Amino acid sequence: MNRETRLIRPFRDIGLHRILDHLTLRFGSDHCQSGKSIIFEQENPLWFGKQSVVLSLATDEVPVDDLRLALANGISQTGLDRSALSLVAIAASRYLKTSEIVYEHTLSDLKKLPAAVSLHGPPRPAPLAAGVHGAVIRVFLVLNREIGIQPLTPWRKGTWLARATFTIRTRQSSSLFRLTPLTAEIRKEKGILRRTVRYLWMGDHDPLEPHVDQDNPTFYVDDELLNLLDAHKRTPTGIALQGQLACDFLSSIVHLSAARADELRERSWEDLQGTLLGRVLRLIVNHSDNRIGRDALLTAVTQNPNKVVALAEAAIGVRRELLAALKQART
Amino acid sequence: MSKWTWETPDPSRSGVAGDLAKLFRNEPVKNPGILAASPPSDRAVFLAREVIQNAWDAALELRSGIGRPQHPPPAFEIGFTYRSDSEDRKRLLVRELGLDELAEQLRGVDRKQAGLGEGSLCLDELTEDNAALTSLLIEERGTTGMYGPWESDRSKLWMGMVSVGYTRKSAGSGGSFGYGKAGMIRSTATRTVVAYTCFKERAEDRGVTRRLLGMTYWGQHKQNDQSYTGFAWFGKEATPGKVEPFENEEADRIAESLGIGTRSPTGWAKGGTGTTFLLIQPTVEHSDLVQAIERYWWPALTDYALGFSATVRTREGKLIHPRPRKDEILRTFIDAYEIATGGVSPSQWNRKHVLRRGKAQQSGLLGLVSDPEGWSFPGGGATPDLEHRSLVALMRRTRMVVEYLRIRTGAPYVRGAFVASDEVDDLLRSTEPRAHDAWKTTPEDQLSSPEAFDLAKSIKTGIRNHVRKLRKTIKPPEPPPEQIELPFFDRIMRRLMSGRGSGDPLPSADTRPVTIELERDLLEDGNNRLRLKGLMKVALSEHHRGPEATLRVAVRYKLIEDDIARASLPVEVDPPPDFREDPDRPGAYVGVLAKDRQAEFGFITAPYRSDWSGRLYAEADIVESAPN
Repeated sequence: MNRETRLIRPFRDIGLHRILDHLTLRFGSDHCQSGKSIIFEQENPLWFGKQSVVLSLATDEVPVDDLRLALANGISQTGLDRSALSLVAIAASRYLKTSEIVYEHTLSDLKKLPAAVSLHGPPRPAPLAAGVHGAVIRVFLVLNREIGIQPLTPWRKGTWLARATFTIRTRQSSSLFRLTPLTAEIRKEKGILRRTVRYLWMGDHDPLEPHVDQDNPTFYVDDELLNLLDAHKRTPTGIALQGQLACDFLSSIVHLSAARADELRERSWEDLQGTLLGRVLRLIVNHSDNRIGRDALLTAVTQNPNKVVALAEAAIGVRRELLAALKQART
Repeated sequence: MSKWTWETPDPSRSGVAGDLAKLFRNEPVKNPGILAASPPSDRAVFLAREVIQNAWDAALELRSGIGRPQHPPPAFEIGFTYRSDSEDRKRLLVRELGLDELAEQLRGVDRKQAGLGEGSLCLDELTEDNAALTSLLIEERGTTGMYGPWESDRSKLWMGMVSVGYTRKSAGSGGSFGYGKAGMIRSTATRTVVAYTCFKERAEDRGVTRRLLGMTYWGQHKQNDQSYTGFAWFGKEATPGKVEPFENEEADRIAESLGIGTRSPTGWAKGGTGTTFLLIQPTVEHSDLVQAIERYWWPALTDYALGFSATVRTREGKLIHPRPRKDEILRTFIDAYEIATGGVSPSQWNRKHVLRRGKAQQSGLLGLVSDPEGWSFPGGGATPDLEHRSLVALMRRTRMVVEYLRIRTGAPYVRGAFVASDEVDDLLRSTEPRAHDAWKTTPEDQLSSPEAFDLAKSIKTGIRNHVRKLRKTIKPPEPPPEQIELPFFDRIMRRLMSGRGSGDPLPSADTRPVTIELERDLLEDGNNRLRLKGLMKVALSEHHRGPEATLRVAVRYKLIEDDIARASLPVEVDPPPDFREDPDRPGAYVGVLAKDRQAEFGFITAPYRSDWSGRLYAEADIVESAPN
């Protein structure tokens, strides 16, 4: 499949669309680029709530004066009053199901737009204290009030003209798909036989829809096996088994998606960003040894899902671990 | 005149060899779990278990009235005194006990055959002036003494020193006399034991209250072409070849000559009733013996109401009282015992249970202890090779630990004490093997009472069940899934969710065989509605091999909701003349395109609200390529 896609905003191209792309967020000592995510590695969730959170509006490449000028020019092209536009930062926690405006600056006073702004309070915004599941910080250039309807011009309050997103994951939130013990009760409930070792229960999760809006699928592993795996997780055999389970998980996602070929044909790469399948495909594309194009990969999901699984296995790199396990067994 | 009379084989009598020490030779002491760390020697264990058990049985008998009670019954004491005699005292002991005769008997005999594997040089040293002669005195107080007329098997002295396998003990006692002596015999290098006993005068044994008898227990051997059973008697020769114990004053005199304190059946000050054993050249060190006493007799030692005392005096004269509470392992069992017997209330991590036999009868009390912050979850630590187990000390009325029952569990480990009730004491005793170190659950022969073994089985099952229940209580809950950290699995999932690859992402090379260009513009359609109008230009790229290809081209438009393109909007497409709508794919157009041509598809969407965003899809697939 050869495909080109374009996002069409309902107004004429006003040149502001990518004006926030250079923004960065500093979370503690980590820096996050717009559109990217970082992982907060501290195991103690309490440390999450103690990190400084600073939004940098200016960089070496884009000094704050350049940003002010670009905003002034872009806004004038829209015909909007500067006072109708604000730069707004919103912190959200999906786990807490809460979001807070953590910064707002009306652009009527562009000269006072700072180069960097602290988002962590005090008081500490609740989403930035969610140390277990992390937070998302979105920055918008947004209409702060409704103006009269004007075709091909932003008019509704809340319409964004540009945006940047920063995702702070924790180790726990990053490992969304933790293994769950497959107990006797669950076997009975799900109709799974005693000898079954693993079972991916999708529940209502749709791998072609954004995962952030859905409950996670549950990857069940035989409880006794899981306990032993936990006890031997750093042995070659334990590591190899973990890799194999990860392969099984990715394989299931690919094959579940492949079974919905008609729907998948309607989706683009961009559509799938944020979906579970999209994550799998991105993992494959990001693998440094890979030369497969995005469209070809997306097509392969429906036409040759086994190849996609094979590519995913290469991307996560379990070969070395499997060999190590068998070499140890031999000795 | 010879002091020792050696038995010769007599076809008219049972042919038992004197090497009784071998009775326990192939029965190693079980040291399960943590008890395997620095255990006492087997010899020390047998000595502590068997000798004290026999003495304690006699004390319990005295208290029960069978052995003519005293009021109040005296406290039970057993003292182990190590002696080291040299010069005159040694010469006196050698002469009085005739140890030189033993050495002479041994000359030219295979010592191993004679059962003297341990300390085989012992008797050679008797004539060396520089070498001290060691001995061990075992003195008991508050017991019945070994009463009974010498004429029949009612003599406790005979059963305790001569018989093999006889069981005429009172109910509830520790075992049979026959095997008990083996514990002592193994603990002496010369295999020589002297017993001096004092008891109340009895109607069937008029005029006698003290007896003294020495025995040497060697294996069958030959000397000067004469075969010997290995039994040698030290006593008075009543008739040729027939030896009887010394009695009363003569026994006192001999005892005194051997350094044994004399006794009187009427006075506590002179030892009272009871028995003193003399073991020549003991093979068990005092520290070993103390540890063995602590390990198997802690219930009796710590239950002060029992009036039980055991001491060990070293050769240097230091008196040692076994202190099982100072042993951090035994202390846990003592805690469990005190919970079982009601001395201490169970706390959060401990339990007390009454085990029943049927609905009415109590089979015993069980105390269980654990230490969730300590030994219940042992690390490798100083004992990395130990196979940890949950252990429960089993005991009957004698309060000797019969067995440390091991229960195969992982951590957390539990320790406990089970005290059988008096009502089932006899039944449980009948399940014990001769070493009294287990309650067997299956009978070895059809003569055994199935009831007893069923009882033992039900007790052990009950103990195991309660241990498992307590383990379940103290076991930390299974970690919820989010707490099971599997580093490699989690790392892969983090990469999945963060979009990180194993290396820096590389731009995928554009090797598409088709190029697509898009021009578009938004049009006002009145009533705050918009339409997207545009032009899609399709051509075969340099990567396409062949002069032409059949293409399928489609233009689609979807409105965006929650950042996802969802509802499709009708798109009117104006294809080039050589492209026709694909009957199999409505909205798609199929046609042949030459490599040097460009196909242009005009399109316009249906009207939509002016505040919606949308996504435009322009797709071109090669259906068939013409060969070069």
